[in-house]
Amino acid sequence: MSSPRPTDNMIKCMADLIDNGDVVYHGLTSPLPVLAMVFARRILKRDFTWASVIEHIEPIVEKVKLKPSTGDPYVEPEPLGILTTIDAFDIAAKGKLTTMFFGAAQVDEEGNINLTVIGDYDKPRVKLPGGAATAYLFPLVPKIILWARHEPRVLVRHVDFITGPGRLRIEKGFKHLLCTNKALIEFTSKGPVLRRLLPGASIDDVLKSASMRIIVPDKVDVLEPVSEEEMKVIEEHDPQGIRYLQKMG
Amino acid sequence: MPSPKLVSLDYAVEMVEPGSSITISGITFVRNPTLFTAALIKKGIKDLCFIDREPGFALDMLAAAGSLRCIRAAMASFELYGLAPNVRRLAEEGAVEYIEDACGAVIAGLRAGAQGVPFMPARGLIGSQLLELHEKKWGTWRRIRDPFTGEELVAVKAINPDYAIIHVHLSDEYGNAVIEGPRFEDELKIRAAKRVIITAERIVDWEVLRGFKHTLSATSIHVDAVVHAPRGAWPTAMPGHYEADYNAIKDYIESSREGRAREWAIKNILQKAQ
Repeated sequence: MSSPRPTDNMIKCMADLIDNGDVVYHGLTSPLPVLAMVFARRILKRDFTWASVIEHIEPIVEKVKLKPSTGDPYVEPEPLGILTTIDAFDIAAKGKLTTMFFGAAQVDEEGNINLTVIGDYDKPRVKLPGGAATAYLFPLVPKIILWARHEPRVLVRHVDFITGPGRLRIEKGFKHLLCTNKALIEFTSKGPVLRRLLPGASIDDVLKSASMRIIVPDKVDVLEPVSEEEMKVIEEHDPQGIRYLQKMG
Repeated sequence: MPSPKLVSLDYAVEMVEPGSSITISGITFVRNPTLFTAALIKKGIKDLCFIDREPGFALDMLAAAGSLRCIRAAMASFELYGLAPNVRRLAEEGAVEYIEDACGAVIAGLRAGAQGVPFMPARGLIGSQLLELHEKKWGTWRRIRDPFTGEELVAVKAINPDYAIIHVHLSDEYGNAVIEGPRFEDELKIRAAKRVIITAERIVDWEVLRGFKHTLSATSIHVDAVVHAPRGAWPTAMPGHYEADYNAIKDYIESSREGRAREWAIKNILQKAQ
């Protein structure tokens, strides 16, 4: 068994944000959210509803196995049945889809995220894959868990393009959280606040590795590193290490 | 009795006019109508406008072949392999009009299209810069007020693609067709499109369908043509029949780097099937 890397601690950090009673959904290109959902169910024993872009509701969690696509039905086998995306998003429109994960190419101080373009929309320096459900779900889902690499060009003051609006979420009183490979950050009306350090990261490192200005409160806790037992479970679901392809360390 | 609609792949491909709008079944690497798409790019079709929610492999085949004038999608991804390689190239070169949509809005537009109404109100979307682009640049969304409560909503203009190409598990020769497992928006696409071409892993006698053993995703009333297309989604997954072939997908990406993606698709998808 290999020792845990920042990616693995990030998975644990994300898992801990899933509460009992949540209705949780993950999208495409989401190996970390899939493993966070596995971690929350198997290790933290959280009682939540499992739904996803695959449209398989309540697969057999013990049989979940990562592949290069998290839209692949064979990732989450033997579900109770199909919950179509149409259905899931109607549930979201009524506020009943409680928890969703989003990756981001850029996140800014207001919690806005960019998945559209770097540069100008019409003359992009880099074309990004697109926001998928971001624009639709940001105003609707009470708890969003973002994940991103902790780097100055990712954690920015202002995003190049607002695919998902963070400020509107904060005004609504929604939970808006960001897990990086160094920290857990919560977006508030005062700005991004450091809530938790990941093992091995210092406050100084967290602040210096970001262009966004992060508020440091008096009390910041530190995540307990992924244990041997927990690592065994993560590896059982991702023996090939597909999660590390997201380059979170 | 409906009339039979079973046609050859070549015949069905000829139905698709250049310059028209097209939507297809599945998502990224699941149940794409790849066999049909390979035949379409071999024919050298041009100027298509492509619309879908979360397309991947078959969209990229069309992009590689220079078949597209515009792309409208909420995400065009090869997931852990990055952005769909040929879509990215076209978008960054400005060689295609790229309309970034959002999942809930695509669903609302298809729903309006299926119901035969001009638009569908949707929640969400407000606050995203995509809203400004859709309102001012593309004319596809507009902010409206609920006439009863005054709530601000977004009206999404109906989406009625000229063609929907839908790969299914089984169909009879009339187009009574069954999708097993995830259906995505395919049932809406079937109802929103002006013409529907079904490609099916299996063609069955309609007596096989009798007695509620299967749920029909399309009926003969919706469908214009049926093509027998075994392994017609490869290398994307056909739930219950075969898994996605990631080695083939990686091979395709490699061919794209060398500008040979169209040739790869014709050789490995179309010629192998014949």
